[in-house]
Amino acid sequence: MVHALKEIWRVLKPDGILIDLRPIRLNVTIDLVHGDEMELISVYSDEWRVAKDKAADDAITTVKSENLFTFQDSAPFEYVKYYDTGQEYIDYEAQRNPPIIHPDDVVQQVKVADDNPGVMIRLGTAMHLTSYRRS
Amino acid sequence: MPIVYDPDNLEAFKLHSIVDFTDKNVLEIGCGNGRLTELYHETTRSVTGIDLKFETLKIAAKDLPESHFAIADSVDLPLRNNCFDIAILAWSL
Repeated sequence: MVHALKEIWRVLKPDGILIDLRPIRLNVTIDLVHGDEMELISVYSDEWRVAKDKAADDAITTVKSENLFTFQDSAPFEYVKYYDTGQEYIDYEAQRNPPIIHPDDVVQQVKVADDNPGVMIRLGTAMHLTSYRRS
Repeated sequence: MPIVYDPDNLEAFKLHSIVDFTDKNVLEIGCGNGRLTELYHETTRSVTGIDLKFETLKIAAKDLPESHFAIADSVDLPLRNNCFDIAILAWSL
C-alpha cells in the first residue's frame, strides 16, 4: 500500500489532491425497514476487511510521516444499501470474496422481508472520505 | 426491484464537498465499472480510470466514452510524473 501511495505521489502534480474513499466495515448495521420505521437486527464487523482498513491507515500514516502528503479535509458519511428481500441480501454477502456469513438468527430475521412486501433490508456502512495534499 | 445504492446520493455530495473537480485532470484507481466516475466526471478536464479487471473496465469504457480506461496496477502506474491534479483511491486502498 505504501508503494502504491508513492506511485500516486509521483503522478500527482505538486499540490495535487489525493482522495481516499473507502468503507469501514466496523459496526455495519442491518435494519428491517417498513415505511418510516426501522428495526435494528444486527451490528457486525467484518474482521478481515477491518484489518485491511488498519493496514491502509498505517500506509497513510507512513507517507504522511515522510512528508509526501498532508491531511487536508475529511467528510465521513454513511453509505446505505437497500435490499428487497432477505435472501437477496444473504446471497449478495455470500458471493463476496471472502464471503460474509451471518449467524442463523440474523438470517432468520432478515428473511422476514421475504414474506412481507414493503419490508426492506437496510445495510448501513460508515465511509471514510479524506483528502490529502501532495507536497 | 434491484438493490438500491445510496438513495440520497450522499457519496456524490460528500465527494464534491471535499474537492472541486472543475477543469481538473483526474486519476481514479480502482474505477471498476465507472460507478464512481459517473458522479464527478462531467466538469473535469480529463479522467483516467485504472483497474485490474478487464470485464468491469469494458462497462466503464462503454458508459463513459469520453474518459480513458486501462488495466493497470497501482503499484506500477504506467503514467508520466506530475500529470494529475486529483487522484482518487476508489474503495481501493
